[in-house]
Amino acid sequence: MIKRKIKSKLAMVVCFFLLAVTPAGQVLAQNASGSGQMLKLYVDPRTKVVYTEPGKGRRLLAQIPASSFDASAIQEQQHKTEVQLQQNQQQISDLLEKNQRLETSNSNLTTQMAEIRPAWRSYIENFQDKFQIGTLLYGDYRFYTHTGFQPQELTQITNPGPGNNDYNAFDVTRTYLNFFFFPTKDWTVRLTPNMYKTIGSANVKVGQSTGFGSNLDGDLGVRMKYALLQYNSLWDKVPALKGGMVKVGEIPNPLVGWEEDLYGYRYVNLTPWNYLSLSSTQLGISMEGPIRLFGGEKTYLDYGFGAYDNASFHAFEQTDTKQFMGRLTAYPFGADWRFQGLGITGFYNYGYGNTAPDTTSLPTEVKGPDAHITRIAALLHYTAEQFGLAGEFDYCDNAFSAANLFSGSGPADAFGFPTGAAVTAGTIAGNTCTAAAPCYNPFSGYGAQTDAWQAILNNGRARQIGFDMFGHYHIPGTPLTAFGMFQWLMPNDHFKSDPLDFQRFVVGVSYQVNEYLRFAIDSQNLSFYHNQESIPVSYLSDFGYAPGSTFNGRKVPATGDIPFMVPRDTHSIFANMEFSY
Amino acid sequence: MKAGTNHQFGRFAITAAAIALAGCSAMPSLPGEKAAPARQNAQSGPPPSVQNCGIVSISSPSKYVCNDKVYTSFDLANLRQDWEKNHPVER
Repeated sequence: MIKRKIKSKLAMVVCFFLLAVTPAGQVLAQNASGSGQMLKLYVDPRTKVVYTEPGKGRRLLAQIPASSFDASAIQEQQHKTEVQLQQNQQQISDLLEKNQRLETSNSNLTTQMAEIRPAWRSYIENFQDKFQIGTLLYGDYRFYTHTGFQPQELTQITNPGPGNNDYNAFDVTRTYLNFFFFPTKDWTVRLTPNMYKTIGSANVKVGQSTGFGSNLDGDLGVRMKYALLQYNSLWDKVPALKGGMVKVGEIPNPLVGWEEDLYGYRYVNLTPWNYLSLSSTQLGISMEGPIRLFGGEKTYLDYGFGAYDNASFHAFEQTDTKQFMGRLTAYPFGADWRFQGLGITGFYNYGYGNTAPDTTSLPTEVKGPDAHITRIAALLHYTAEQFGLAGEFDYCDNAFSAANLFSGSGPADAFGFPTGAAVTAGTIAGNTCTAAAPCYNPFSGYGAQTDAWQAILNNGRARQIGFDMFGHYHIPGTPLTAFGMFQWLMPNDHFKSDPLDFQRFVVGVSYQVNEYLRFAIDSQNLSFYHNQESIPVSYLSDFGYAPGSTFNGRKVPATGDIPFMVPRDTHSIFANMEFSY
Repeated sequence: MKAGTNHQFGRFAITAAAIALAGCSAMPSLPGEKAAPARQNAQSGPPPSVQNCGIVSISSPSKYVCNDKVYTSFDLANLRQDWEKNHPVER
């Protein structure tokens, strides 16, 4: 039975094999010689074997038209099949080629992405290294037991003058937002907006009948304190000068900021020259850096110099000249860190008053604000980790004007508002007074005194001499540091017994809360130390005082003396705060 | 059987010794002493305190000198905070 099945299947396989594989020509030669003939197949029902010829026991199985075995048709079909096959192969080849191209493109894209991603990631990862934002905040509360006319103790703070004892105020005197951008290691950009207290009330008239009130009076405005571009690698290939840099823009000058750091308590009070007149910031170009000698890391010299506008950063430059400043500090024994050990510093500044050329060219009896300005400072200082002490000698020309003296508080007469009762009839101090031509009463208000003070300070031949000392001492085992500053200035040593000679002293204790925060409580005092005195008009006239001239619409004394020439002292207590980040 | 027993005893002994060493390392060496901090070593004393340093630059950030070495305020703050983290105050 099994054999029979095998045979039957084998017969069918052979049959289909013959149909499919046997050359059609042979079949046709045997069974179908032309079109219309039929190919007959016979089967033996017993054996299931298929035959092409009849025989005993065989039965007709099927008749197949011979035309279906047309050789040419088959060949054509084969040809078509081959063509189709070639086309398919070509398509496959094309697809393979296309796939190869896509794979190559994909590989290139992957490579590109691999190259792009690190750059992108690098930019993000380095973003924090390219930018730095910091802040510096100074604030205080101050209480005056005695008020008087004086320079500012801190930036843009003011106080009412004599007769306003117990005046007190909270202030914010600095709000730096320090933006640093480091596009490369060579370059730094610094932008520092800072607040300041606006003073002013110039109302505005609009049209014929409309007026606007000033909105500047006392506002906390914002101005740029620093806006500079700094090149850091000027001397990188010179080991002795490495660390030097060039700054251009709105930049710190070489003395004030440096001295503030030497002192360490700028949040409490201004350093000597900053207190007198020299702003910390001008527009210009400068160079600064250390000098390391003998191939070591110790700093033996530290320099800073530059050319700047005559105007400070908060004034419009009017001059056709510029000022020069230079500082050189020597550390005879070398300094491992800034200020370390004994230091000797010299500072020189030569410039001019901020006056437009068409004004300076006018002939005047005295040069006044058109005169040159010289500032010289010589310092001897010693700094250790736990204490610091510095002594300073100042010598200068025309560097302390009445505007500087009254920057914190001054008589209204210095700002265009006459004080005291006007004399409108009769005579006084050599003047004949009328309602149309009133006179100052030298015993009322500050008009005569202010005119005399301005003559002493603003005559263009004033020479200032000063001595200063400052220092600090850390109280061991505590967060407390005692500090102090003493300043003595003779605003015009050509003027004998100058009533404006003053001594200023600041004493206090600082409390270091943490790395960012300090507090201090201190006493700040200004003393015009001469006994009260009167100054003869005849003597004042040698310094540019014009007897009997008009000042703020009133005549000033023409003869005699001007009394009460020594201003009142100022005494105050401050509580200060510094936040630096 | 005897060999197997010895093998188990050996594993037990090693484990017990490891536990003992680990446990003892976290104990005070003497009664009353504080536990040694995880990262303490001979050189990890308290970091310089800003209260004992001298200020040399007031900026963003400010710089201080402590033991003849210059630190930024950030450096000192980080050192202090790390120290405080590893030396918590016992209450």
